[in-house]
Amino acid sequence: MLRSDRVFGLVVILAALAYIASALQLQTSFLSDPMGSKSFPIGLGIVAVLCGAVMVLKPDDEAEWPQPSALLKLAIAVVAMIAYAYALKPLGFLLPTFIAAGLLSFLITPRIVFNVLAGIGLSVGLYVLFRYGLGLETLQAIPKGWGG
Amino acid sequence: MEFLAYFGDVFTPINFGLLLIGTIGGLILGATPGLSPTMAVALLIPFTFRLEPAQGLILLGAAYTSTVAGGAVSAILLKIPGAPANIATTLDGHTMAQKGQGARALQLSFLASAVGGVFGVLLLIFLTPVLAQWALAFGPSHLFWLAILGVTVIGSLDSSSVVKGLLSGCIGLWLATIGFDDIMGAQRFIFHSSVSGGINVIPALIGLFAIPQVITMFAKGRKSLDAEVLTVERHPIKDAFREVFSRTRALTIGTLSGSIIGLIPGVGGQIAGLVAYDQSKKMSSESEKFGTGHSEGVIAAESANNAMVGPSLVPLLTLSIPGSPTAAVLLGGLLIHGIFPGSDLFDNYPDVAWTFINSMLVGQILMCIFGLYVAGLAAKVAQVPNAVMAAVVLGLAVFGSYSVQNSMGDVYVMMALGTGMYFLERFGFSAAPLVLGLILGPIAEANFIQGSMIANATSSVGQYFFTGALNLTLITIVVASIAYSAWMELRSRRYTTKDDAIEKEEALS
Repeated sequence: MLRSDRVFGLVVILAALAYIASALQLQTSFLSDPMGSKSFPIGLGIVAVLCGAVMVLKPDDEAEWPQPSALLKLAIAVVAMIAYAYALKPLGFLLPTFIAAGLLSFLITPRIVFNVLAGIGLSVGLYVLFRYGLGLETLQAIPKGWGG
Repeated sequence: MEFLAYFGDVFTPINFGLLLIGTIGGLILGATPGLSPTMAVALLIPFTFRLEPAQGLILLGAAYTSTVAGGAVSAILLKIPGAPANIATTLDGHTMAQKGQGARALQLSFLASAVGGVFGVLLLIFLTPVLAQWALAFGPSHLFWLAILGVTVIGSLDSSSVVKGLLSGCIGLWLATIGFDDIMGAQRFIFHSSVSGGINVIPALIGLFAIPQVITMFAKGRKSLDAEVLTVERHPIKDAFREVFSRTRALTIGTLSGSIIGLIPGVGGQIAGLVAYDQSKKMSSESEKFGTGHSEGVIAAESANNAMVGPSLVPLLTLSIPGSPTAAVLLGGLLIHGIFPGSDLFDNYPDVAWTFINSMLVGQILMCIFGLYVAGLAAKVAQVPNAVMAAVVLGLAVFGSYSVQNSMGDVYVMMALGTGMYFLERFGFSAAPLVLGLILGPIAEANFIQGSMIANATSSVGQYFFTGALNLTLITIVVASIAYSAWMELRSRRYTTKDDAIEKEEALS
């Protein structure tokens, strides 16, 4: 039977072999220390291969995966976060944060009024926290040239 | 008695203010289902950059202490343990609350927490200087084995299966080898420019602990907690006092087992409560009452949880081997201030070390006082909707990581590790061994290479690493912890089974 543990075990073994191979490529320094920068990674790779082999041979029960609809929401959230990261510079902090926080809270609890309030509260609250708590002086509230 | 000299420093306005903020904030965060203590402390670290080292540590230490105790509030009133460590508290505590004795359960748990916690910190105060001296006798080979011990013990004892625990330790160690190696300066495994300086520990910690919980909130969607908050009625504190101190057996068992478990590097607090609960049930003359809202159950579990806090810092402060995932996060908080735990800390920064430790002692008392009076309130405040919580945590995670060195690379690392960790957790892996691997990896490797250099100059490598009483003891513990867990797994009698792990996670989200 194909269990996700077996697949994952194989992936681990392949990754570990790649890791070992890439460790073997490392240039040893001219000090030519026999242990050097290689041996520790190689040892790690061997242990990981062994662990992967045990997973292939003796897999656990099937893992529980989230519903496809949940994965879709997750994908939307990730895309939103990436867009958010790019929007910060040109649009300032408040507007993108309002949209992103509102959208994220909508994905979890779809209640429009609540989501709008959450977006407003979070964008202002987090701005104060980051600007003064974390001391991010470069943080811009609104886009450059908007009177601020 | 050196620590007495630094007691005054705890009570300077700024330090005491931070201690209060950490304690009250920690109680609320701990009582919030969905925020684990480790995650709370990890998210706090970026806020300590601009503080003095001692001040930052006071804040983190207070948060550590009181999130652990605060976790009991939601365990008792909501049957949702605030942290995995509070699972044992739900058994009797929630039953008590259902019977309308919620206030009694809360008071017992905070008083027991304070007793355990104070004992634990005293142990920290008196053991640490002794061990720090003793630690000077540790050579590279011993430190290497100790680092390996930290990863394997937590890997084998604290995850759903031994192999997966060890493998997550391995993955953590892999991640640690990315970047420049400390001794030779060779560049290794740099596959993307974000990791050219190696993986920064703080963003990694934030990602590994915070992101999986956020994703779980999304995956679960609207299905919010349907647990009802039980109301708290009045209960005279005097009675609770009398009851805690008349249950000396449960209190002693809880405190002692918590302290001992805390001292073992890597085991941490996850199982302290369960072990103490089990032991005091076995030794009690009223063992049949356990699970029916019996006070001994609450007292044993909560005194153990908090007794674990102090001792879990002993291996951290003396040998820089964190005793629990949260201690690992604290290590991150120390390292960003350029302070390396061990004899360096006590010889060169005694004021930092002792002010921090003393503040933990005062923090235990403050935690108890605030806990007794605001616990019921905290449970109401803690009902933050998941939607808001997810956005707040995500925001803190992104900007916290960014602020470490003002680099977007760290944010990518945080997001990538966090998302990866979510899927690993689905497979039954846990974050704790991975984090310990990541933190202990450089320590292990540096000592491995130094050791082999010494070995080449004197004897053979095998002889250097595998002979001598201390080496052999450490190796024995490594092998024994793996063998014991494997054996328990085959007999399926572990404290953390897969079902528990899933349950824990559901409880946490």
